[in-house]
Order: sequence, then structure tokens, then C-alpha cells
Amino acid sequence: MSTFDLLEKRRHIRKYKTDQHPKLGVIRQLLWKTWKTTPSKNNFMPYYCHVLGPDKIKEKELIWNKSVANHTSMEDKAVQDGYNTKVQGFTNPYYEHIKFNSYLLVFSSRVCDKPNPYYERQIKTGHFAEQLYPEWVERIADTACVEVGLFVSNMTMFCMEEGIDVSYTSCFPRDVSKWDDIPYVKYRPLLFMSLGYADRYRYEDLEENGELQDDIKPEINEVIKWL
Amino acid sequence: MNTFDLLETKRHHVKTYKDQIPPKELIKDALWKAWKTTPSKNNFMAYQIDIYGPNMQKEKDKLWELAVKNHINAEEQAVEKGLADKTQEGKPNPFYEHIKYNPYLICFHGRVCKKANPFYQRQIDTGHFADQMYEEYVSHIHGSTCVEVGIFAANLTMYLLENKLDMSYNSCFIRDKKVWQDKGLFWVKQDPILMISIGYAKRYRKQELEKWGVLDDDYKPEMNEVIRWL
Repeated sequence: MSTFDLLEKRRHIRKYKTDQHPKLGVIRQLLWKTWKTTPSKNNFMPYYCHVLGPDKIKEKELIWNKSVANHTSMEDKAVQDGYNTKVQGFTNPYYEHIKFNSYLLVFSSRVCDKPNPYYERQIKTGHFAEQLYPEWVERIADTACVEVGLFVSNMTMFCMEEGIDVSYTSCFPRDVSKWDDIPYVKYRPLLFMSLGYADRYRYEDLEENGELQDDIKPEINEVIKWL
Repeated sequence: MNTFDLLETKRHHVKTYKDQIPPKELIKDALWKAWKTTPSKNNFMAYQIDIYGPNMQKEKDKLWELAVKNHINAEEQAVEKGLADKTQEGKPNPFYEHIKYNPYLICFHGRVCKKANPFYQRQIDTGHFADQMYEEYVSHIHGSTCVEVGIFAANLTMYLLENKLDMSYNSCFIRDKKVWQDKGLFWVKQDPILMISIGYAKRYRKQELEKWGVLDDDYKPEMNEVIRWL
């Protein structure tokens, strides 16, 4: 199957199967392939990919709580600031993949301990490696986010090749002071990605409601401009 | 060739591109596939992709200057703050050359979306807040937009490699859109996120490092430094 056909099949998960999980060895192999093939500025990879396995039920619920709270907070603020006149007032069902899945990957910024020998020599001649300093984490968060995007896309491709479904969520508080209950997230959270075998896809809900044809992306020429 | 081997053996940072210009159709094909297969929160795709073609050398010179200036600024700030005791004295990083000399250069920027699709318009009508539609929220959602740009870039990379094209990325540039506009790049409306150059490689960075005998020193962190099993 071509890469295009493979990625065209990717759909957001409504529910994962809870009684069937990809083998641990398979996930390890897919993470290795992704780590191996994802490039990074100055070869630092200034992010963590925390992996929560099938048994980490409470930990995943804490992460899900972050998304739900952030969504609610955004809607409330929009009303306060006059952008909206009401809130939806219910939990987005399409966040359920964060809570119930086989594996959850939680990405957060990482302050790097040391450069590799090549960049160590560059630093000695005056190159500045911002990835080594906590005070620069926020300033380079955008680059870390792009690199996490590269990582998860490669991971997606390798997962899809094995028949493993994936979904993403980027709705959560960015302020790390709101993450005191999640000890492994010490710096800026960046993305959640879930993995498993789909029981139901989001598109099936929309299809059932007769809405699938309305959920379209912008036209290519709204996004891509030939100057 | 499988996807892992394609990425592992074919994607390398380009030092210098050949003068040969790839057919525009190959680029358009890869872009269309990337657009089609890249997901986006609420299907907004809150970013813009500007493409600088073979005839835009003056503009690419300016983009290269924005990269070099940022690099210099970062080094100078580090010395000012006592994090370093010297700079590289303004010597341009030779591995930014791909930004200046290439057949095609793509720049990603944030984008304020004018409208939601019909599904999300109905969600908005019932109280969903679409932050992608407001100028004042562009910086708030910047992280999310950057992740999506990374996903697009990775997908584009696969399609370009399958079309036997090379590409390189750059994320070192002045972030302030006003500086871009002041340089005459007046179509830039939001802060930049990423640059990708595309063409046929004449020489890769790794060949330079190999020549200097330092290729083995330029490795990534160990997997268990990045991937943590709880």
C-alpha cells in the first residue's frame, strides 16, 4: 500500500477496543523506528515522549482531566470576553481516546543534559545551544512542537503499517504550573497521542448523524499560496 | 522500498542543491497529497504555506538573511546573559545555504481562519469556541499550529522522497513578522514557523562531516533519554 493510501485511512478514534492491545514488543519497535528516522535541530530532540501502557488507567484519567478542564475553561473565557453567548457545557466525547486506549504518548519539552561531541565542539567555538537551558524552554517551544509533529507523523505511518490506529489531542493547558499532579511533566506539555485498535471511529458518529460531508478541510488554495 | 528504509537512507540535510529544477508538477503532487492526508484540529489547518519558486532569488536571499541574523542574535544574547563567553563572530552557518540556493523554498506561517466548515459552524452556534478564527488567539494556539505544521512537513517529506526529491528544514529565523514585512516580504501576515527547501541534492551535509572525519560524533540522544516508559 502506498504512503498516501495508508495515511488516507487514518481516522480519529471514538472508542478503542479495551480487550485487545498491540503487543508491547511491537510498540517498542515502532517507537524505535520513529526515534531513528525523526530529525532534530542540532540532534538534540528537546522533548520527552512519555509512554503510558495499558495498565496506567488512573494516570490516563489525570491526563484526560487536563483536556476536559482546558476545553471548559476556553469556552467560559470566550463567553466572559464576549466572543460567545453560551458554552456547550458537556464533555467532548472525542477526547475519550485519551482516557481509554492501549497506549498514551504524552509529549513535553525537555531540557537537554548535553550536546553530542560534534555540537560540543561547535559550542566551544561560540555556537549557542538553547536546548540546554531551562530559561529557553518557552522560547524554543515552537521548534519543539514542530519536531513533535514530525515524530508523531512518522509514528503514525509506522503504526498504520501494523494495523494500529492512532489519534491526537492538543487541547490541554500549556501552563506547566497547572500540571503539579503529573510529576513527569516538568516543562511545557506539547501533545497527546493515543494508540490501539479502533472499536469505533469519530467519522462513524458523524455518518450516523448525516454530518460527515460537512466536516471538510479548507480548500488547498486557502492554505497553500504559490507566490 | 519500505517507509522506514526510505526515511532512513534517503532523507538527509542538503548542503548544496543542483541547478536542475524539478518539474513543478512533482511539487504540486506532493503538496496536494500532504494537504489531503494531514489532519488538523477542527479541520481548520490554521497555517499558511508560501511557496517561493525558482525565480524568487531576491526573496530567498532575504529569507537566508533572516536565518543568519537570528543565529547571530541568539549567540550575542547568550554572551550578554553570561551563558557563553564568545560568539562565532557572525560567520554564517554553511548549512543554511539550502535556504538561499534551491529550486523551491516553502515557508509556513500561522493563519487566521475566516470561516469554520459547516459542521464546526454548528458547534460554534451551540457554544464551541473556535480560537483559530481570532487574530488575538494566534499566539495562544501557536504551539498547536506548530505541531500540525510538523505533521504536514513529515507527510510532505515522504511524498517528496517518493518523487525522488530532496528536502531540508530550517527553524532558525527571526520570529517577528514585522521584521519580515520590513524586508519587503509584505505578504507575510503572521509569525513564521518553519522553512523547507526542495530540490535535487548535489551535496549533503553528512558528506561534509564525513570528509572532516566527524560524522560519527553527530548523533542523536539515546532512545531512552527521549522515550520514557512510565
